[in-house]
Amino acid sequence: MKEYALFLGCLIPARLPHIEAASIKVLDRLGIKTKDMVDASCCPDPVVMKSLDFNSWLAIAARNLSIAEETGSDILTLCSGCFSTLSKANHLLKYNAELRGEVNKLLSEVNRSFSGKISVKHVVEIIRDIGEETIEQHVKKPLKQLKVASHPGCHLLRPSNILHVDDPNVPTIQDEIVSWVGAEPVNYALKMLCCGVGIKMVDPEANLLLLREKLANLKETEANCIVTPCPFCFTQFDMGQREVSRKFGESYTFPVFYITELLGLALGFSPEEVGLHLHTTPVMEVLK
Amino acid sequence: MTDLMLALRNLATKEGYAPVSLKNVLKALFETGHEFPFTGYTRKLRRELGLSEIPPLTISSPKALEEVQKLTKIARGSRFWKSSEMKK
Repeated sequence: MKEYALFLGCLIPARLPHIEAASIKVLDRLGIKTKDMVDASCCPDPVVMKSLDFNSWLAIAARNLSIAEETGSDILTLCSGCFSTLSKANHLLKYNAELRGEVNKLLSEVNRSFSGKISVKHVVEIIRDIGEETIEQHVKKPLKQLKVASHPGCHLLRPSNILHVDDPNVPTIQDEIVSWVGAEPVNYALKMLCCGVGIKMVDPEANLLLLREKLANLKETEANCIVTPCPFCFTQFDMGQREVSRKFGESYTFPVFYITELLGLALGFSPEEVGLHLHTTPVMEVLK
Repeated sequence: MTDLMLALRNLATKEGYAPVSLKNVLKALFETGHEFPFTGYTRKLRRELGLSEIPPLTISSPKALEEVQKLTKIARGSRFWKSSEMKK
C-alpha cells in the first residue's frame, strides 16, 4: 500500500475539515495511506507571501519540504495553492544549486536541510494514477444524475513546464475522473477562467465580477453541479454564489463538490460521511 | 512576465508599499505559522468529524513556530535576494 506525507496547509484543516476527513476516507478505500507532516506550517501561499516576500516564502517552503523528506515519503496535498508552492520550491531548489546552497544555510539555523529526494503530488494526480479500471471496480453508486462542470483553477496547471499535471490549455484530468464515477462531464467556454478568489483581498468588486462571468456561462450549459480540486475555488463557488446572486439580482445555486467528495459518494460513502451537510449551497437535491 | 511582476511587487514591499490586507496575512503567518486561525467552532467540527481538534502542525508546536519565525527573520536579511532566480 502506497503511503504519502499528507500536507494539510491552512484552509482545509481550519475552515473545511470535512474535506480533510472525506479525502482520508476515500484515499484509504482506494489503498492510499496518509501520514501526518508533524510541525508543518502554511505552505506558504503562492499569491500573497510569494509576491510580497519571496525569500521568506522559499525558506518556509523549504522547511516544509525538509519535514516531508524526513518521513521518507512523497507529499500528497489537497490544495492547489499548496501544490503550487511546494512543487515550485521543490523544483527551484532541486535544479538551482546556488539557491539550494543558500537555502540550506538558512535551514541549518533550525537544524534542517533540503536534499531534493521527494516529489509533490496533488490528490487529483494520485486518483488519476490509480486509474480508470481500479476506480470503476470500487464504484458502488454511479453518479448518473450528475452533469458536472469541472473547474480546474489556476494553480494546479501552471507553470506546466514545472508542474506537469495536465494540458494547461485543455485539461481533462478531472473530466476523466468524473466519467469514471458514472457522471457526465460538461464542457463550457469559460472553463479556464479564474474563479476570482485570488484577488478578493485587494479587489472584492473584480472578484465578484469574475465569479459572476463564470457562473453566467455555466447557466447556459446543461451542468447541474461544479467540481473543483482546490479548496479556495471550492469556497469561492460554494459561498460566493450567494453574494453574486444578491449583488446582481440573479440566482446561482450550483451544488459544488470538492473532487474527493464526488469520488466518495460514488464509492458508497453517505452524503454526511463526505461532509455535504456542511456546504453553504445545498447539495442534496441534485443527488436525487 | 510573471517573474517580472513578482520581482516588482517584492521591491515595492521592501519600500513599504503593499495592501494592508496582504500585510495582515504575513502577520498571521508569522504569529501562528498559518493563515487561518483554529476557532472554537473549527475544533468542535473537527472532533465531530473524527479528526484531532488541532492537527500536529506549527499552530500546536511552540518549537515549530520558533523555527518559522527564525527563518522568516533571517530570510528578510536578503542573503539570497541577489541570487540567480531574482536576477532573471
